[in-house]
Amino acid sequence: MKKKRVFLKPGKDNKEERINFVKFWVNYIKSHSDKEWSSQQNMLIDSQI
Amino acid sequence: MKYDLKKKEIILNRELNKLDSFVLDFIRILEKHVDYVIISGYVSIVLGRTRITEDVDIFIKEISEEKFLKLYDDIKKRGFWCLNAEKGAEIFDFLKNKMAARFSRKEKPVPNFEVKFPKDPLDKETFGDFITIILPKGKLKISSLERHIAFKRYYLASDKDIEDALHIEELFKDKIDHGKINKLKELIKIKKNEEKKSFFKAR
Repeated sequence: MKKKRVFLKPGKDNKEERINFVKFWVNYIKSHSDKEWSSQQNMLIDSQI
Repeated sequence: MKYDLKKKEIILNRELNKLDSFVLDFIRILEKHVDYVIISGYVSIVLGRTRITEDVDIFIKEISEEKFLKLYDDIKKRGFWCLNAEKGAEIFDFLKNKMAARFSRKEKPVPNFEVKFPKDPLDKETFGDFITIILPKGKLKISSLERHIAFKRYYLASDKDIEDALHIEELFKDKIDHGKINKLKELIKIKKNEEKKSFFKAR
């Protein structure tokens, strides 16, 4: 069965935008395997070290 | 990711990044000599938060100078160095005086470990209030999720810290002990007041 897509709620300001993204990302972590979400996160971390 | 509350363990089958490898390499040296607990930003990062840090904060139990010098010797042998000083006795002096000492891979200051002795009873409690993260290539001891949230929300409290706390709260929603966070919140208030008092006394 196709998973229902979850959308990121736009924030009224930068602070709310960032908080909404934290929640959106946690939802991604919960709905994907450790390997899947960590490979996304690693692109960010490895590119900066 | 599986959090076993009883065992105080999180099994994390994640792919490791360069920061994780740096942390695991350093911890393998450290744990042969002294008890430790990783605190602050890296706790949220290893559990998925999408940000980077240049330093990994860690408490080590207070040890004698002799033991520290052995640890420092091992650190150097394994390709790390201290950013603050070369001589072990000098580095130990920083730690003894409740300052942090930073260690990185030789000639690569970033990322680095910010190593500290606990400053007060609340810091010391961290050694009895930790959980273990089991990664594919090793184990890490991190502060309990409640302690992590409480310090991020009520002690450090910048936007970044609040987001770090929120990440953990959302991720482990039904497994967080909010009563414990509230108790820690009160103790943090006292700690902050004490620090304020001693700051003004020292001026």
